[in-house]
Amino acid sequence: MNISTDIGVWVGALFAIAIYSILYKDNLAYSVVESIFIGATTGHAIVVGVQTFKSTAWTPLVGGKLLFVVPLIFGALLYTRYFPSVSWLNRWPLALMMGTSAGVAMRGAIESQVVAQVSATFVNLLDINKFLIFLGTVLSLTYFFLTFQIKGKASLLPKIGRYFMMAAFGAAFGNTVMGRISAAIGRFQFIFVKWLGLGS
Amino acid sequence: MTFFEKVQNLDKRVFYLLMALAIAIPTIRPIGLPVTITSPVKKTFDFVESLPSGSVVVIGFDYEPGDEIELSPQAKALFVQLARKKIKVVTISSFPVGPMFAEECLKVLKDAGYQYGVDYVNLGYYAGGESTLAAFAKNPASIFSKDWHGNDVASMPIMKEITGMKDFAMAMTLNDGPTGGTGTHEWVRQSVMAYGTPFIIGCTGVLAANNMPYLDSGQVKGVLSGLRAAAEYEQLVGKLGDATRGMDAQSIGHVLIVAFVLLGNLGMLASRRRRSAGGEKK
Amino acid sequence: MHLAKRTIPVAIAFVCGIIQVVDYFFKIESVNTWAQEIRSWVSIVAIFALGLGAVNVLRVHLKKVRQAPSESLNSILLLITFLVTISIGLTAGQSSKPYKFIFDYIIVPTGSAIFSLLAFYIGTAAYRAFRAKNAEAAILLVTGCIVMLGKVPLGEKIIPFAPKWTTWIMEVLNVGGQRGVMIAGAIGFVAVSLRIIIGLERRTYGVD
Repeated sequence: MNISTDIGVWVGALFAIAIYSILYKDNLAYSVVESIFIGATTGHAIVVGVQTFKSTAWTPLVGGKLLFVVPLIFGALLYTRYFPSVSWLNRWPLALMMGTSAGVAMRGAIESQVVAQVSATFVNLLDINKFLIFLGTVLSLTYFFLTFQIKGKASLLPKIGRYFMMAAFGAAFGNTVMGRISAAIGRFQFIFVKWLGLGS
Repeated sequence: MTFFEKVQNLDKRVFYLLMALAIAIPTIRPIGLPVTITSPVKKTFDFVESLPSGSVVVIGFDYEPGDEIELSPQAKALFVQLARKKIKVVTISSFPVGPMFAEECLKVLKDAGYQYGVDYVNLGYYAGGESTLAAFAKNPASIFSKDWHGNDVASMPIMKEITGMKDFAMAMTLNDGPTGGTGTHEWVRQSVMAYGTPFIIGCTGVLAANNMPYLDSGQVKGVLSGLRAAAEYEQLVGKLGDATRGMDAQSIGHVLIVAFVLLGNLGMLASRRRRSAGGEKK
Repeated sequence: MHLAKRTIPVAIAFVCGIIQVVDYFFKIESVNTWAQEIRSWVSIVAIFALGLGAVNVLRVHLKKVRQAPSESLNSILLLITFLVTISIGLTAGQSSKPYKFIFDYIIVPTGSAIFSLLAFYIGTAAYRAFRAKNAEAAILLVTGCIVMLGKVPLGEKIIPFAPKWTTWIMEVLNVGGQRGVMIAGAIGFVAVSLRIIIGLERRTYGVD
């Protein structure tokens, strides 16, 4: 056992242990570390925000890109929400962001998530796996068909579609477990290997 | 009351303890079980291998601390391969913490003799998600006039070769989801669909399943998902690291969860049987 | 006031959205230039939005400290850490040793420890809630367990066919199911986007 002499490693390990203490029961150590974390993370967002502001807005503006005055004013308007008499002004920058984001996202979504996916579904249907993908896609889609209720024997189609989706969600669950355990592995490696000097 | 029913009433902290042991013991005493290479990872590796030497790629560090263990090892293993092929790297990030992770992973390139500003650059954070990524894709200079270190981007040799997304030989995102940053769907829309730039996804295990349709449709050239993919990539590039070390704990953790699921279901069956037996008696 | 409070925001959303759509499908130089300009504007406005979160956190905790200073240890610590992080970040820079200390030994370990609590919760959830109560739940459970085992080397030792089946589940069953969800979701997403652009979904930017 070769315990780390790095003060930072000690802080990181003790903070992680304080977080894990919530698994036993709620306690002061957990809430203290949680508060410190929120303070540091919020501070970090501001530091990065200032740096990004310099890079994206300020440098081009002082370099002659005067049109950037518009987003600067719109950005400042976001803070009118804290002044009830003029809070409606924050609708303008929100409308700018929402309208642009909707336009940008919408234009590519049809091509990439609808057209390209449909094209890929109707390929090589004599191959059993490709046929199953085709079947899964079409039947899953029938589940979302809400214009009228599918009745009688045809109601079997959305039911099988639901089975396909359940298989997909099961796969997603299996992968989710992998992700969550990985996160703990990272911390345990830090505590046992980096801090306590145990193992590899 | 049967054994399975008794187990159902156990304090949840017993399960927490078992889980902690399942991860801690293999972390301290690794078993070294071999990891086999899966097809999505091999496809990704082969695609990167096919890139021309000297070309430039863009990589998005779109993740937060909770997913660092899954995605940073992917990035480091990939950088080993990129360094061998002398491929230049531009990094951007849609999370405020992303540039710091990028900086850490880019040490692999620095150690391989890469020169900052010439062979690689960390452009830093951008706010605004997909809209800003679209602006970057059209003209990177419109978003980044300075890099993460505050250097002038226009004067960097690496950026002189780049006028937009179309000039990158490959785009990649290391992604933990769209909440607060730019997700994989957004990247596909703004790289592959808008400019035809070959794209690969490095994602957390959580996102693996819903990105597979892109691999099947050929819109993306490869998908790396979670710590497992990172461990496989480490093997492919021949440099074992954190991911490979973590696979034993991952193994025990998964088996334990499957055991929990089985135990829970056996308990349910036992209760059902008892209830139906009780009903018959009445 | 109706103009400023309702009409102008709707007009802004409409113009900004339509320009982006036209920009994608047509090569009209003035539209292409303005579309790019507006996207750059969004990136700047979004930086200001970062500060909103900080202002909210500050307001809540300053209020707590003012109201009951003796019971506000957590709020005081939060505010101190916030100010220290900003001071170091803006004066010494993010590459400085003290700032890297905050990032490497406070933000990363604590953030990932908080997130990794889910590993423990998912274990008990799997035990208590993941039950094969009907056909759908059974399919979910079986595919989930096979994928869990197929993704790790030990799973392969226990059930040798698990990795092969996992690959098949991920690349066939999963693709079929996920693709249906993806297409349906994208259609819904496009419909909502369109409603935002033409002013039918005004609540997204605060107009009733």
